[in-house]
Amino acid sequence: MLDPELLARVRALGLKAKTLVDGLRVGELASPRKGSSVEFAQHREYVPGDDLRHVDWRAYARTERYTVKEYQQETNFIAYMLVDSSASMGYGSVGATKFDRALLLAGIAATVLAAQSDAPTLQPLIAGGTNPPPSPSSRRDRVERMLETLEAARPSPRHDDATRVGVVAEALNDLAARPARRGMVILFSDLLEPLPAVLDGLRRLRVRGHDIIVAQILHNDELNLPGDDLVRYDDLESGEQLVAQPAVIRDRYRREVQTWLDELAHGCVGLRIDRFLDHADQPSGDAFPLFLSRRRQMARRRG
Amino acid sequence: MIFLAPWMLLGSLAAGVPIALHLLHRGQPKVRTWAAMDFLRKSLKDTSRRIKFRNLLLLAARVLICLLAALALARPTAAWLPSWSATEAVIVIDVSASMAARESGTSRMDLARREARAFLESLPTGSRARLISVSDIIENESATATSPARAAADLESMAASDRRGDIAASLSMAVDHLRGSSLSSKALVIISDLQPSGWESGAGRIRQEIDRLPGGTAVRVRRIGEPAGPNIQVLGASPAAGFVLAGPRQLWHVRVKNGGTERATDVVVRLGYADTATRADEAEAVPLGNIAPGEERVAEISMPADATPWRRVVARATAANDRLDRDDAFYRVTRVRPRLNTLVVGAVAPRDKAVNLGIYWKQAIEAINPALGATNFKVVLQTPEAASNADLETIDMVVLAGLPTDGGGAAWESLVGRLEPWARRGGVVLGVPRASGVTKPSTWLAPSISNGAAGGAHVEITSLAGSVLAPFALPPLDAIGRVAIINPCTVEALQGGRVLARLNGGAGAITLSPLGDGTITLMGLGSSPDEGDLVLHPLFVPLVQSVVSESLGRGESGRQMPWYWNGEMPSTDLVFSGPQGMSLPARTTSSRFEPEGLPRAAGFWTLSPRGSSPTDSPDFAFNLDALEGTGWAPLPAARIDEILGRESSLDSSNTPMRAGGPEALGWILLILLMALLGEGALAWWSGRPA
Repeated sequence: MLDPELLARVRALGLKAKTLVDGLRVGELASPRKGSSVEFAQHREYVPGDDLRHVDWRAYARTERYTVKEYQQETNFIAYMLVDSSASMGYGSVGATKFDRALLLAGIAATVLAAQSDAPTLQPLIAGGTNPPPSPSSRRDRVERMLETLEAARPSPRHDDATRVGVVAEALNDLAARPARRGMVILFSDLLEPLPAVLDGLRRLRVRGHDIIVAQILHNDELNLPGDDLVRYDDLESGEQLVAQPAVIRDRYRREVQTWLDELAHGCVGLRIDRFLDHADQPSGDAFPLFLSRRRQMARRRG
Repeated sequence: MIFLAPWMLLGSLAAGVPIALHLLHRGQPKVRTWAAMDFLRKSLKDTSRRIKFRNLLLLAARVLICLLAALALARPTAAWLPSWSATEAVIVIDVSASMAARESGTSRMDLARREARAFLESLPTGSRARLISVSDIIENESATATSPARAAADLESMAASDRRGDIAASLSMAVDHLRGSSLSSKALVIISDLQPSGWESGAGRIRQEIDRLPGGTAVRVRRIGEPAGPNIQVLGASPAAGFVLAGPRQLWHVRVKNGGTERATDVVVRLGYADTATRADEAEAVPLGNIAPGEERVAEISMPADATPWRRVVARATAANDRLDRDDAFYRVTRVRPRLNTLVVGAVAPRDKAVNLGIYWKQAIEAINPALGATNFKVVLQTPEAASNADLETIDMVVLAGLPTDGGGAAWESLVGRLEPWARRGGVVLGVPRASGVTKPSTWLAPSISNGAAGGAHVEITSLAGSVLAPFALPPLDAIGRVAIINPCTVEALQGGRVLARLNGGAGAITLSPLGDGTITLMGLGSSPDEGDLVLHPLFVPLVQSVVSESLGRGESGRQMPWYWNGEMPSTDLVFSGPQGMSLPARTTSSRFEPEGLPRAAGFWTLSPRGSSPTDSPDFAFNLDALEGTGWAPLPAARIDEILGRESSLDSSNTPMRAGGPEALGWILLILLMALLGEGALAWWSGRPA
């Protein structure tokens, strides 16, 4: 499922917490609690973006090649990765649904985190409540098992739960209420549920000191409402049916979507939450790794 | 609003198509699963009403288009619509005799006038109109194009004539007029009762003229009158003997026919003399009961005749439910002979084989005596020798039974020589040549008498039946057509004469020629049983009667036709006076007096100096054509279209005719175009964001 080449590239990127989190920090990541000494683990080839302080100059003198020292337990912060598996995430063509894209992004993030010895935990968000997240671990096999668990939580076409509260807001509130260590929260969702509840859940997590990334995944159809002929739209979530002629309401629809996106962006900025918008129907590329890279650079400049 | 093709209104049912499509389309949208329902719901909340309104407008426009298309195809005419453009209109009105038929108390002519007036009044401003009234001739040839109002006023002077119909006679003038018009909109309207006699005879010419019409000319044919109804008509009246003898009662045959499509009831035939041109004194009446459609009957009526040389005879037929009076009368000017003395010249003894037997001819002449016991009808049989010394001044007709073609010797030649001046003074000669090997005709008797079939071949009389003799032959002589004659003679007619019957080789067998005031009739058909079986044929007497009637009736037959008269009249200002106060100027051509123009009214016409009373003047009888009104059922629309070479030209509706036609169509097409544009705009608009 994961592109090995892509994963290899993202493995080299260090995911840096933008803010101080509650966890062990080794290297340039400053932890609120000073950690113990580090143990050398291995050398690896230098890649652009690596901190020059980690370059092994002695090895350079011997081999005239830049190598970087890696240490065990450089950091050990926990990353809570929440993947929306509600029915709306099933929109899209086969193999290119929003959920598929969420899995890809989560895999990228988990790989990056595991590569820098952080401990991600991946939790699917399904209707009817969420289970406690699996224990965080940076072990590669554990990460892959968590990805398999996510894959098994693939959304069904319809849940017929017309009275449900948004699963995302519910999961955020649940996580915020849990006595967990501060860490990083990465949310993968389309956020197609009442926006105030979602923002309220994010605010609660921020109050708990979590660093939050919102990876919003939408389909281009949902942004532009394509088509001209009369269409009956069946809600993936509730089964509700609406008949409309897209060409007639398209402008109005776009305005509604844009307003919603603007409100979401405004809310995220206010909560100091980084937001990444991805399109499920576009070729999977390096936008998310690039986003993570830029985020790290910005965090470094801020010191 | 009138629809020229009302059945096309069924096309309005197509208006249900967009409605059905609308419903079907609405009921079967594409189905798509969707996640962002909140945005859809909010968008639809504000736009659904406007979308429904647009769709309803679009649906209404499409329904309107279907309705307008059906309306346009139905060819509506509506006088209330504004004028489209000035029109050059030619209205041809059938004024043949059948147009005088009554339709629920109103004549067809009145109905035609009403239709023409309605059409004229509905013509756009600036239009011009020309009326052409036509029977088998154009009856208002001098009429020119004028304003519709003036043309409407001219309608009042139009009346049905007693002539037969021939629409083709008018179309050349109508087409020429339209071709010469500068107005872009042109219309040809024909108002007729569509009697086959007026259309079928000139069908080819009608098509030719219609094809010459300028492009875009609207052609409309308006049918007047109902097709059903009886029509009793008198086809002819003739004395049973073929001539009228002064004295006792004599039998007349009056032929009547129901030319309509329904039974004529309580038919009564009357026959009498008319003292004046306007009043007839019916002397006798015979009831015939009911007559089925198409049935022809002969009424036998006897009436006396006084010694007046010429009498006006009128035969009338009435039916309780007849609708056309014009053909209920037949007019005839008949000569009344004070006597008929006949000299038959031939062999007296039956056993004399050397000469033909005149006795057969004597008996045949005696058999046609119109009044048994009459003292003024005598037949005498004499040998040529006796006849050569006879007093011809007491003789009216001489029958030469077995006239030898080689002259026949002194007696025959002496007799024939005496007959010429007698015949020129009015005598009637009936010669029956006998082939004698060497032909030696008398040039005054015939330019040529020769052996028709030397060697004794049998021949057939091929052109007798149904041709020349048929019109005056009672009963019909068709059966004689196959009689065998041994050694027939072929005869030629004198100048101005006619061939009444021909042999199968085409040579003349019976000829009738004028000679001065007299008549020469030659029959080369044998005069005795040893020359053929004609004299033994059951119809020999009727044949002789027909030939005698034709021979005696010369002069009388001329009085059936009004355009010549050989009498002695002053060559001053003469005029023909007819029924209903009609008159025609007369002109003289080679001793004949001809009317300038053709009579339009049936009845008696007289020729007299202008200003004088026509009472004592010679008479001519003009009758309706026997075909007029005989086919009461009008031509069907399909046949009219076929004749015109166009479709749906016939307007059979009962509502007044209007000049809407193309104008109404133009307006509807304009509205249709606007509706199409509106539909397109609505379709574009409905596809736009609400």
